[in-house]
Amino acid sequence: MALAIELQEVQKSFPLESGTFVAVQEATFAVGEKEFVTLVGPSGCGKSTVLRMVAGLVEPTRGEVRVLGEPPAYCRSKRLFGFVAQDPVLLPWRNILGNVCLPLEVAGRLDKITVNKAKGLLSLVGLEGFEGARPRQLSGGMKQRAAIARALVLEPSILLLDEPFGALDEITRQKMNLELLRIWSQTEAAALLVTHSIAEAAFLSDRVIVMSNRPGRIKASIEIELPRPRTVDMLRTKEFFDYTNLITDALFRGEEGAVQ
Amino acid sequence: MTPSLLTKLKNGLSLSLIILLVLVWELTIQFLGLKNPPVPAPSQVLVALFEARLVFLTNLFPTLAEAAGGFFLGNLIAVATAMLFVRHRAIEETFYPLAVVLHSIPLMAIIPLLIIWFGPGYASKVALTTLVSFFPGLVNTVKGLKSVNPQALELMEVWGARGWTVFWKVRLPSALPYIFAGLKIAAPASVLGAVVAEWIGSRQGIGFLMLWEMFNYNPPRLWGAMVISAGVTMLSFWLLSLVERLAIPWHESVQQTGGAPKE
Amino acid sequence: MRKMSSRTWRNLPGWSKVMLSFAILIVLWQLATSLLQIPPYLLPSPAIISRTLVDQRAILLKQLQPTLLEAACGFLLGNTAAALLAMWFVKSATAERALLPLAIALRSIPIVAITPVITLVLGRGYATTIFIVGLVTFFPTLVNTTKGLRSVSKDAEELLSVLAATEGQAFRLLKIPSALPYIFSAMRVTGPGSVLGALVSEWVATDRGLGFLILDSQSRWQISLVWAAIIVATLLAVTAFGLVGLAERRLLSWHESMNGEG
Repeated sequence: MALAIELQEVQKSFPLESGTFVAVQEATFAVGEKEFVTLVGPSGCGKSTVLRMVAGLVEPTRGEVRVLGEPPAYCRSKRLFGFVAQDPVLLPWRNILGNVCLPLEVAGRLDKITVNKAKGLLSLVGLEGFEGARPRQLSGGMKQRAAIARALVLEPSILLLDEPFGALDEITRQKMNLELLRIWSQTEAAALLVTHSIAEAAFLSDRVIVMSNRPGRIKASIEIELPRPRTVDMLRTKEFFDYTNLITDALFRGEEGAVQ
Repeated sequence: MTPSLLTKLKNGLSLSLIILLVLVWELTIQFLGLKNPPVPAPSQVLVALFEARLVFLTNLFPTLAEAAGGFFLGNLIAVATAMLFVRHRAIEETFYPLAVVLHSIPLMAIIPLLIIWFGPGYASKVALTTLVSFFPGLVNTVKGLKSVNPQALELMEVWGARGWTVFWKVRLPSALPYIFAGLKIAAPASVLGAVVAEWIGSRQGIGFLMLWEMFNYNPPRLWGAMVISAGVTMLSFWLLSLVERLAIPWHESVQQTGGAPKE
Repeated sequence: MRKMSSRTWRNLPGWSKVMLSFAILIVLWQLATSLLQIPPYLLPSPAIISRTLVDQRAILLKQLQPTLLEAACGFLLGNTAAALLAMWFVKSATAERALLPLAIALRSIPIVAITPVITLVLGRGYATTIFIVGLVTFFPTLVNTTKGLRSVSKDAEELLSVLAATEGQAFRLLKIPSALPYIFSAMRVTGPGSVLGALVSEWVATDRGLGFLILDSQSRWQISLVWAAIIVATLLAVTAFGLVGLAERRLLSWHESMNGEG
């Protein structure tokens, strides 16, 4: 199988006044084509930095990042990335459709066909009828739906999700996760998600990569073999519960002393 | 009570107070029956405004030209400089402190120098109004261009956007509210600058007219000139607010007109 | 190499950047005037100006005094009047509703421009200049103080009323401290503004002060004295700004604006 994302012994350190701060240490992992992989770990473990290195927003200090066999900058120029962050970052002076069409404009692909596609995406994320609304008229969840539609409008091969629902309340978040899976299953994209919610990681992913804190390093990689499509009922199964326990164990392994 | 009703009531109260004050003023002056007092009755000012309308008009145009010319020139240079600053940090770090130093000079005080350099005509006035408009324009535009959400810039980078695309689609729109804040400071300041500059060695303009009427002791005309300069200032401010409302209808400063603006 | 020097520059504290670029400006200015042989009436060199500052210090100091007096008195009077009126506004909502919109409208009028009118009414002399400076100070302070006194959080007000605090205590303990950041932000404008107001109103209303000196020496073609007077006036404005900043830092060390941009 061809690899969507590939990291080889990637290290990222930042110079500080007192020596260097190692944010990510020797991260090696891969994401397969159309695979959904989640990076889970405590706040500040460098998982967002990993995501940004995949997008080429941050240069690794050592090691190599390949996306679809190419350097990230090349993939960016080919508009292969879709990106959703915790903040939906909708431009307040554009209406919702205008915001979703922004990547099309940047890529110079704005025409009748693509605009119709953007409208289709808006109805796919459940925002039909809100094309002309301004961002401030939308709730947090609706804004994030728009951000997802925007991320998909260039038909990306790689979907990067940086705690996309971190700012939402628990109930909305659960709903959005189901929606995300439904939408993602209709695309051909591989997904890399960053979260600190164990349940979210287990529920969404084909594989969960567990990261530790200071320095950020990969502790475990856990295959989630729950069938797709995932349903709410699965949240109550023993298998799901076992997976969350597996992830929890991996997260806290070697830190018993701190937990007591 | 709805906010709009409250606003109406507030405005109504203020307006009726103004009318009352003007009435009391009128009656007091009439009652005292002084001959040509330094504080004329409002009616006398109105009469003077009407009778000398040609004098006022011929003197209004130079002032308007000086204020508007410097306003546009100063803000144009300010926006261009701010763009340069934001694109090249080295330039900003070299020249921004200098701009701060220059800004602390009380600009009106250098009018005599500007007259030496540019002569007593339009050029020296426009130079002053340009300077007066430049600094608020620069400070606010730089602030605005930097106020852009860093995550929006990150997104643009992920989509492979180039510098100018980022500027037109993200940076400039997010700077607009700040640019308008600067314009709203610059507009009254350039009118003031033009009027004050006309005090020195000038033969025309509202400022010149004010001094002329002061030395010739013609209170109704002097007050009339003051009313005109205040009116022009308010009109420029109001026009800018209108343009702002049309240009950035999405911004919260435009949303709530009645409420107190946030600090 | 270039990267290094730009980094060193970046790491310098703000004030030293200002000082350094100022020093560079002076050096360039001096070089330009002597190399390009610019006539001193167009642009006197820094050397000439500094000599004038020293030689003419008696006259500069003498003319500084009236300006200082006008600026200081006007500033104090304007601020006091504005503070009293703002306190009345807080007590009487009707007064605020009737007068505050008026004040906001008048604030945008170019106050200094009405100097001839005030001169006509109050005559030439200190009364007019002080009145103008007072007006320049009055409107921004009034608007900001009212805003500030109103900025008190509901929770804090409830807390004080639970403690059965008197009205005076509420003012002293809560309202005035909450209003101080707003008052200072007005003073940062009106402090230098009152110096400018004094200078410009002197052109019309008196024959003393730095403003008068600037105009008078221009008409007598003593250009280096014009420059010297402008420099003294600028220093006065900068000092006013600095004093406000100093007072603010002393009184408002708790406020977030002090911990942020500095």
